[in-house]
Amino acid sequence: MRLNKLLKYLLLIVGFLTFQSSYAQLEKHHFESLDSLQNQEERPVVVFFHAEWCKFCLAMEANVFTSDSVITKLNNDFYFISFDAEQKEPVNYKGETFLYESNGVNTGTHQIATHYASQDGSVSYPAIVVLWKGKSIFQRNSFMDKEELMGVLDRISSL
Amino acid sequence: MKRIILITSCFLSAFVSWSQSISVYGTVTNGQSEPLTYVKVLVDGENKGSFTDENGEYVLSDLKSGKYTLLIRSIDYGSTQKEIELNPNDSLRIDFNLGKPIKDFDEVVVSGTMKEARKSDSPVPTEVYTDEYFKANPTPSIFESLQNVNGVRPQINCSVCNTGDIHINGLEGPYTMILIDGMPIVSGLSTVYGLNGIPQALIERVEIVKGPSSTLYGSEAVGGVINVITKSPSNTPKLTADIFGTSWGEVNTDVGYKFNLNEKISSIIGINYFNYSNPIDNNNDNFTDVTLQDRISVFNKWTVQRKDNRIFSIAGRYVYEDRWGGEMDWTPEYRGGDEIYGESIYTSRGEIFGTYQLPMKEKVLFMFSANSHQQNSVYGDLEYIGDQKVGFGQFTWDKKIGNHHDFLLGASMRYTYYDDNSVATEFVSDLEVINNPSETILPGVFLQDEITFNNQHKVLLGIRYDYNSTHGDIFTPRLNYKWKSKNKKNIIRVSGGRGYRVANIFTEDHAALTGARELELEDNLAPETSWNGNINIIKKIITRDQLFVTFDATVFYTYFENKIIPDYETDPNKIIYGNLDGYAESKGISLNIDLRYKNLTGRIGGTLMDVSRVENGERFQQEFQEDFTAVWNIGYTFPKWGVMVEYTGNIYGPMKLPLLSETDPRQAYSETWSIQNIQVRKSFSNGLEIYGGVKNLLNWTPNRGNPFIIARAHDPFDENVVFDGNGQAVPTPENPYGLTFDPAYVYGPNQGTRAFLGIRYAIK
Repeated sequence: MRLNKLLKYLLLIVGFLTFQSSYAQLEKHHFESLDSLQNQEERPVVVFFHAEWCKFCLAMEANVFTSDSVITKLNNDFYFISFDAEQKEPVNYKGETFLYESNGVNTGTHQIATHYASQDGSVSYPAIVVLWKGKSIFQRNSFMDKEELMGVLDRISSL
Repeated sequence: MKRIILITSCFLSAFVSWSQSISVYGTVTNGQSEPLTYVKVLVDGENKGSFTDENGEYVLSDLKSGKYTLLIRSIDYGSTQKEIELNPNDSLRIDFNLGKPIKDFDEVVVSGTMKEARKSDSPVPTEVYTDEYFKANPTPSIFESLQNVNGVRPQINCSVCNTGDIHINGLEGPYTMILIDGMPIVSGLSTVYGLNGIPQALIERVEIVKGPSSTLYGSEAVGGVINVITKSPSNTPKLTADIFGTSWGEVNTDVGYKFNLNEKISSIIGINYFNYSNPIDNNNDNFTDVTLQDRISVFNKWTVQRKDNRIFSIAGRYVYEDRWGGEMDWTPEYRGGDEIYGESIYTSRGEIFGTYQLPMKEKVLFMFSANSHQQNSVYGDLEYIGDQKVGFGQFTWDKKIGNHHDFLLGASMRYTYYDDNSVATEFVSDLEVINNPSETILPGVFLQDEITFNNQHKVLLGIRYDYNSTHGDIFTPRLNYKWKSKNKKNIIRVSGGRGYRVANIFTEDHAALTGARELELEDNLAPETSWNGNINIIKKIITRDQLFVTFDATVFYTYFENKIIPDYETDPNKIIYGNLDGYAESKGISLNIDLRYKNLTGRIGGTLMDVSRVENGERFQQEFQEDFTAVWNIGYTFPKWGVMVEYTGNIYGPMKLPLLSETDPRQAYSETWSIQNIQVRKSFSNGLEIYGGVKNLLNWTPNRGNPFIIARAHDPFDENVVFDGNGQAVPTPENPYGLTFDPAYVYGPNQGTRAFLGIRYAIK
């Protein structure tokens, strides 16, 4: 059956890919610690808003944020935050408190995601947002591959 | 707003020249001559640079003589450069005017296609279909759209009036609960109408839970729940319009408009109008192939922003529909008469529903709904006038205790009023017949606890208690367990639970409409209940070259303990409602595959199932029930042209069909049948989208392989049928098969190939 073949092919790829490994460790920060970090050294902030069920988010976690060049770039020139947009814990940032807001049985969005990553009133995932001095200078509600993300990061950090 | 980025990693080495001290200075301004701060001025090729200060001034000192290029790069203004030549002991002033900001990053919000809107992370397996999914095969109502969902089948029950119900995994319509914004406002009489007349433009998503959810929703959530979530004013464009027509002359119009009354109160209003008024008889039985319809629906939702983000929203909907089908020469003046056969239904339905969060620290919600459904219908010369009113109120208290427990405590009350012109709502005494509408009150309480052990394990426990005047105490428990692998790519859910439905003592059988009969309920009348168990496995596969595949497989088993059936035969003067002596089963396996590779998307689903009932020890296969079904939705995008091609379809295995007698020449089983559609759509940057395509490419209609679909269509009032002493039709030369008029032999739409063309427009 063709499906079987496809599956085997997929498993092969997945197996092959697991041999590749990266040595650098991505530094992840939190909204709460941003102010003190910025006092030490001012940098743009890259926020990766994701959700548990979002497969494109998974793909970015697995394939993009594991790349050495992306990790080096983020660690050296940015502060990186990986944020579960459906987390229930409140977040304090810039003197404001952001809460989880439910909008249905078992569905909801954290206000900080709505605040920074919504598009036409709702958030779709993954959302990559770059903040500079607390303001959003870049937002993309879509999967970005390594090259696209590096392009944006390079462009921002070279300015 | 200044959007200026600094290089922080760049290390500026101080290069001190002892022989020369050349410097360059100046100001950087924008088009309005306003100074720009924090702009970086670079000397190209040299490791030198400087930022402008608050006055927009910069200084570059300690340069050597020679030719240089000064460079400015700014997110807002792009890059600018100037060639300079420096002589020893110079001090050069170079000013920059950067002009207008460039638009590039002004549009900070960029939309992509590889994104997902919303899904539930609940231990309860919930399928979510967004409005985008249904756009692949546009239909005038959600009822028809559900043909694109695996395991869900809109079933047309009457080939003349085209009313239908929704089957979930083989269980019939009355056991499917339809919610709008989580509110049980559609029930009994109005299942189909609940799904007609919701403008597609106002649907955000449809959530489907297969298997019982009575613990949360109470009566009727036996076979499954379909929850239609409407858009809220915050996430809908200012103005939307969607109009399409087909080559059969059907026209569907959806218009949505959003406005803000003030800073806190906003509203959306949606109007849907559907019209089909072109009688077509392609199968030459002198009956309309598709029911003629004229329907208007108005939807209005208000949301109020309150302190601490408390919820308050209220919505209303009104639907009016005039539909008729019958002999081609029928006109309204024949309504209810016995000259020309026609089925004509006027429906008027109003709903109001809302949610209010109580102004207190604890999260307590009050949800309420009320609706009125009036139906005035004739089936030939038989009249049916029904009036149903349902009121519903529910309090829920959501309370988290510790890190692991999330409790939901609720209390609800449902009131149903039902009256019709039949004997089902009459009280017969010795002297007179008094109209006796039925009123039922259904109070209930429920408690559930979602326990999160850690990131990988979750359990949902729930119990509900309802009290019904006919059945007494009803308990409905549930148990759901979810496991997720550490890499989030694998999920296993195991669910078990009970569903119930309280007796519907009004009749859907027109036979009961004739003659004076007394209504009688057996003493031990039990509610209709089911037990269900299912196992759901999800596997996500993601490769480096951007192939995404999700497998979602479910094994299900539902055991139907009881069904309430009307008995007309024991006593010709009575309708006796009693329990079914037996049980019914629905078991099967379903698989959904979600696939995405570059510009190709696909969602393919299939279900294998066996639905049967055992009565007095004998097993019967359920009528109108296929053994296998598959649906698909495959799309390919050409990003260069903004064009998308979508191929949708479904296939159903043979179904057992109801024959009138052993001599009935119609097929006892349907053929395997399939409806396939293709659509091309192009979107333009100004918010316009044009779509068009062909529906039912294979030109399939249920009359294939059958001598006729409607039995004795030429004699709808059975004028030439000869009956024997038992009321059975007798074969005669004019009626060789011994049949009576019968429009109930139908299982799919009677509508062949047709083209459609539509236009969508949105202003943000």
